Amino acid sequence: MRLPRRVPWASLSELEQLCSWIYTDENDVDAKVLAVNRLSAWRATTYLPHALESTLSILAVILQDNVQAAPSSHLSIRQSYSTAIIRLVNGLVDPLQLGAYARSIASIANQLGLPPWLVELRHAATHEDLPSIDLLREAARESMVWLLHNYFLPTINPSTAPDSSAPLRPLEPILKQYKNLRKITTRDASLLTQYKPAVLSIMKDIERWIAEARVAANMATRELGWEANASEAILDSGEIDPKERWALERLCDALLQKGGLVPLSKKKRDFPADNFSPPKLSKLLWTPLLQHLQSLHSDFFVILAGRILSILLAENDQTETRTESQPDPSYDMCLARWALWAIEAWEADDSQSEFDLRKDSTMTLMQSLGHAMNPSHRDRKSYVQFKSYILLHKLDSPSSATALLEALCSGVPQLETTLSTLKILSNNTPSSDWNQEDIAIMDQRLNTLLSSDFASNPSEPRPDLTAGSADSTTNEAIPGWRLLHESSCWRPCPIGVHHDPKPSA
Amino acid sequence: MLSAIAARKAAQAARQDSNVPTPEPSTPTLPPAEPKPIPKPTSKRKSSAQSANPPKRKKKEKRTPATASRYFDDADAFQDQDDVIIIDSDDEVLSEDPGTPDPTMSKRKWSPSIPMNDSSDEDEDIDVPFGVLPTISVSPRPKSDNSDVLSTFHPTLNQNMFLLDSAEVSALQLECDTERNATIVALRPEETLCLLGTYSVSVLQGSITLCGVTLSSSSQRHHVFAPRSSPLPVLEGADATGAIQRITYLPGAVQSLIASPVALVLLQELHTGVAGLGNVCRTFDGIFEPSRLQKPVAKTPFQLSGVHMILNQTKDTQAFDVPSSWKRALSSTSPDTSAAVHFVKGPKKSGKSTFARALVNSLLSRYQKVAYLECDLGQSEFTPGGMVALNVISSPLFGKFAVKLPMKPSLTTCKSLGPPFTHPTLPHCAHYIGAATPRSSPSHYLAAIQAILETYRLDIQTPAISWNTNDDDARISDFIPLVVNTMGWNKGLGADLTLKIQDMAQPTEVYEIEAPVDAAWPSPLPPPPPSQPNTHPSPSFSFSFSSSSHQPKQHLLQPIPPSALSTNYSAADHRSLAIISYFHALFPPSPPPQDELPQLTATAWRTSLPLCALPPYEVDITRTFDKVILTGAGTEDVVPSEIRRVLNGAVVALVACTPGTLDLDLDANLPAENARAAMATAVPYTQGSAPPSPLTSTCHGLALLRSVSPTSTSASAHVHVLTPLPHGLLMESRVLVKGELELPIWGMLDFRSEDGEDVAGVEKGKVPYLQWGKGEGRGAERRRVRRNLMRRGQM
Repeated sequence: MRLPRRVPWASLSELEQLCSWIYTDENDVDAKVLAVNRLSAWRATTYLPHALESTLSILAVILQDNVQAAPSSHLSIRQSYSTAIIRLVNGLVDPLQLGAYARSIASIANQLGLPPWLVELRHAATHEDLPSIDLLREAARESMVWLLHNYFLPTINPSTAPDSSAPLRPLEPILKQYKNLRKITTRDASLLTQYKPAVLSIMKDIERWIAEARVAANMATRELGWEANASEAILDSGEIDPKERWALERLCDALLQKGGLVPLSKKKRDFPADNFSPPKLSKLLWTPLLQHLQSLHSDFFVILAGRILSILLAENDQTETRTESQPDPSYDMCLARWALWAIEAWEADDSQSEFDLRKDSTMTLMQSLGHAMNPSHRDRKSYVQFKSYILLHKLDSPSSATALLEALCSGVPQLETTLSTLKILSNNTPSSDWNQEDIAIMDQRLNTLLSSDFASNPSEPRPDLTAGSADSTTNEAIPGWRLLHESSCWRPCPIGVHHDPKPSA
Repeated sequence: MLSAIAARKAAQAARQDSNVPTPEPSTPTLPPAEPKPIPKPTSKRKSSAQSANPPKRKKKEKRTPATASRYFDDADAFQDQDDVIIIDSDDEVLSEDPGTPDPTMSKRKWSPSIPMNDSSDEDEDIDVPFGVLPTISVSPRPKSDNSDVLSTFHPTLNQNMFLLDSAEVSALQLECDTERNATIVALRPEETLCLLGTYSVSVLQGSITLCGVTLSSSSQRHHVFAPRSSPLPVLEGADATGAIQRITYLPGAVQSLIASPVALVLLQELHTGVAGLGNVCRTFDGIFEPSRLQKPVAKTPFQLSGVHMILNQTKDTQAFDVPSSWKRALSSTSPDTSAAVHFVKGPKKSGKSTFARALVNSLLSRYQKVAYLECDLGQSEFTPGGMVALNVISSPLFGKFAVKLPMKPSLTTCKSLGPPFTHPTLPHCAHYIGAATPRSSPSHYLAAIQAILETYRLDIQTPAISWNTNDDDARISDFIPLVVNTMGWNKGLGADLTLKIQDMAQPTEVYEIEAPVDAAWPSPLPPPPPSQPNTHPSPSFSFSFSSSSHQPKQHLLQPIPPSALSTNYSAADHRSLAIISYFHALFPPSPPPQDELPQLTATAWRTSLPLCALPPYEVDITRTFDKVILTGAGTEDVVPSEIRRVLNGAVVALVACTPGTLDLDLDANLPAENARAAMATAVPYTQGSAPPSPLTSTCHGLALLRSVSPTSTSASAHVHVLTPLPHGLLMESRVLVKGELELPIWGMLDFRSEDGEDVAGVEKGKVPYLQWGKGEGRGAERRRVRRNLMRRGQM
């Protein structure tokens, strides 16, 4: 369930009114006083969005500057302006410091479309001489214009929101550079130390790219961008930050293009016959980078395996043919081998983990390939997932996905038996044989499954009713306090909505 | 898939727990290659300049112990990192440094949206996923080979487990719920039984230990709330001797066990509606049920609904245990019974609240009542946050089931068996600060504590003995000791405040939970010696106090290791739950007449309806309240014409002032324009008035102003108010104080609707003050502070 967030206005029209007070007439001091009063009141009800808080502080200085004909001290006004602008820039930039390392404020401001000279002014006001009053007045004006176009208008008219975020720079050149460097060093190991700084700087560059991608995720895909509260809630439960997931998925997509993990030349896709591992050279080239990424992002291998599976399964699904490329079985096979590599590397990396990536991937594969087995249900002795029978596919069509499935299951006795049972099942039950009895049996199984699932948590009897009625019986009159109930025409309504009941007799 | 990752992370955190040795107080864990600490001035305020960074850097390094870190083992030259940029170091004044190396951090991979542990109180509401320990802190079971086995008891029907029907239960003549079935369990000494859920316990024979406290056979019934969001209490057989004499009838099978070496425990279902709070606050959904990880190790052999037996430790389970250094401290409290003020302090996440609770329990075995002063505004034990409160505890959780039957002396203590949200209690006296930290009003905070200490000394310390109706109770009744729990903000201004409180409280016993030595922060100054009182150098908050005549007895305690639970539930989550629990709670309507210092603890929760559907009180704000006051930074700027807007949906404190002390007459001196504005709004609000003086007021509790009638319709303003307070207290409360405390989002939603698509029948786009989906536009989010940024070139 997605949590809403608390906003200070009851409806967007209130924000619109505020906006018109501020921007309709730049010289209308009275309207600005109204706006400052309203913002101060909002400030007392809940945390303001940063843009509104900045609006309040800039407006307050502008008022102070305008009202006082001959201010006692221009210094205090300059200080107020400076503080307002420093806090505006910092507050906009800080949430976008998403990487491990500080990005320059200028580069983030650029991504935000914030005028660069405001960033310079921030620096000057913080560390250098306090800027002049003229410059500060101009900065305040420009900040207000920026807020109008980047906060007020998009918030009030969500559909017309400009999506001016700078496009993500391509990752491919970096990956190519990495590949070339690795090629040099794998050919001649003695060059390893010489090229180490270069390789490290590429890895840093990739980290930087991930940070940028996160910002892009933050700004572009509004669906992902939960309010801080909500995303903290996800993190609390240990789940991965959606922005990070998005960024890593884009990274995986770049890696999985031909010329990345899979060599461009089909000749180079020489698969070791004895095991199900990726081509030797590719493995040599890419393992350090992948391990490095995993060490920084604990779910990288999971995401990598997930992306590969989705590519393989999209290929497997006949209805959704990939349009942009010819079927390329060796590419798929190579991907399948990388998937197994990632899963095994994950297991080696984190053998004690509760989360069984192998099982999870097997399940995904089996379900998508149309098989009925769900290994995690073994304990409950319920082997069959019903609807997947309907999607029964034939297992004997060899594809890279089934090859991966077999490779995944080999060596794990439990999964092996599962797979062999499945093969028998899929061979022995042609789908034309269904009749009414089968459905009855399935219904019965479903019921047992459902009942076993919920029998353990019976709904707790609610003591509320009795307690509530006891409460109302002891309700003696207190002067000034009248307990409302249904009979006094009060009805439930959201917090903040006043539903006037009948006046008391 | 996501939840699988969650499980894995919890697993990582839990595994890490067992890897990290508990730091000994004498040998703080320091990274081996740490450079010499750079001395720093005490005042953290001055250190926000760049030059202050080197010491902070060490703080950062310490948080990732060099021993168990894969993160640093990689060949990617992370070792070279040499700088940490602290963004917004002004806030550093408030930052709390947990001090203890947090193992979850070292193992858990770096992630940008996970702030480091030094977030200040200011940002906890959104920014600290696991920065601060929940109020119930955790101490894992002793590290031994079988530490992951929580229940060694194996139930076998009619051998060591007996099911009683209601007729048999009533024949026992205990104070238990005779309508319900019960189960008798026979625990051999040292056999353990770990239960999840809500239940009540009576010991029929022998004794057991529960949360490190011994319960001996008595007819008393103990309510136990054991959600998995806090450490699970473990019942352990202690002693098999001694049975309740009054038991005349027992079912035959049980009869055969009488006098055999087992402790007999009667378990019963307990239904209070508390589990419904999980429906309201979904972060805590199903906390009284086994989690996904616990399902395989949970059983329900007792045929009691809502009671689950947990066999083994899982990654997201913690069992309650009292560390040995705490037991030593508890047993070595001075026997002097005439002037006991116990003072608990220590850094956040170190287990102060847990220790304070254990201390109360321990004192309750010698005293009939114990006073508890809560100075931690963020994580209060008995009240929702935001107030300094004094509670007089006779039996946490069991106030309703007063002792009626004769019992053996010293064996009848009732223990606090549940996390704070399961026992909201009306304070004896309290003062509303209105925020989760005293940051914006330190002097008011100190004045409030000073006032409470005076109340304690005058009214409570040596009470009249009228409430002592039980002659057989040998516990001390003519003196009530005081336990003072402090906040965990022990740096900068926070450290100063805690020292001041210590000076005011004049403790006889000081329990200090040690933080590992932190090079970045100088250790707080020692308390001023008795000969030179009040020498502490910050005159702005100085109060006159007389220094205690003798030095208090000092106890140094080990901090508890961090746990996986704190990664699942943040302090902000627990704070939300405490407020939600408070507004849904049903308090006993009136105190027992013979009790001078009653303990009014909620015993049931009305959770069948969300807050938006609970019938409110209608109150004429003009006639019923004398004054409306706003506190908190920036509230001076709220003009009277906007006051209704501010009050709509606000959480306010209901304050009673001594008649005549409220400075109403001052209002007359205000400009006529202001007075007219106040008249027009019909709300008795004056801009910029100070909070009521703690000396002449007391805060009875909180109320939610669920709606305010729209402006300009009439001369009077009506508000609709939700509050759990008993009517007697409502009548006295004539002043409203609104602070920074807000209703959690969960409280504004309607759990009855599918997927939260509407609130009380209003579709979600039209619900006021709530916005679904991401705010469009730049800067639409609340400000966030990052303090763990590193400079490029550190790789």
